[in-house]
Amino acid sequence: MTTRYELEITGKKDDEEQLWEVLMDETGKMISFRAIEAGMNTNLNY
Amino acid sequence: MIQEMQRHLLGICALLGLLCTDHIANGQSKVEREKSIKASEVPASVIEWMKDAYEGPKRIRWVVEESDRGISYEAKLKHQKQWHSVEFSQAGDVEDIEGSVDPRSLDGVLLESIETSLNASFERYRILKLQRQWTGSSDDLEDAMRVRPMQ
Repeated sequence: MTTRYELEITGKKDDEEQLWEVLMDETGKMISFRAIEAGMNTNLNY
Repeated sequence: MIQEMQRHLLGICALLGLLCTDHIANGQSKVEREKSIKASEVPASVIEWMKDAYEGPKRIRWVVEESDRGISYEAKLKHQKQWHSVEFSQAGDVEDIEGSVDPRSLDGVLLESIETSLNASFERYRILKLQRQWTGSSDDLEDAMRVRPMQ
């Protein structure tokens, strides 16, 4: 069984503050994050 | 003759470009529609799974979601003071469970790790919503819901 955490945050990155969806593994290590409004997806490939 | 061939090649390239653009646009489209349904409209196997996993009658809101991937069923309920959302495939197989989590209820080491990850990627942040998601076999998920609350 796999456990993951999905967070919705407001975050500032590159001088821009917006809503982000962040996916983390069960240890709290980030897997990916995505700007919710812009639809940008950044996969960190951990 | 060469000019005619060049025109043909340009035409083929333009057509391929149009096809690729259409394919990409279709690949990105995601059509989802949710509507509330009655328990009587949910497959019997789904109802049974919920009874086994959550042990006993609970107030459950049933939702059917239609998307380009097909139909899925979702049960939304409150369990041990937390909101749970259980998703099932059209065939009635449980796919995942999501539960709301209060960040303050997390283990200190885990919370520290989450904060470290966020600090590494964002100049500043504020957590608005935190959910825990379980995926796995039907039996494993059933056992997990029976023996422990979501943290």
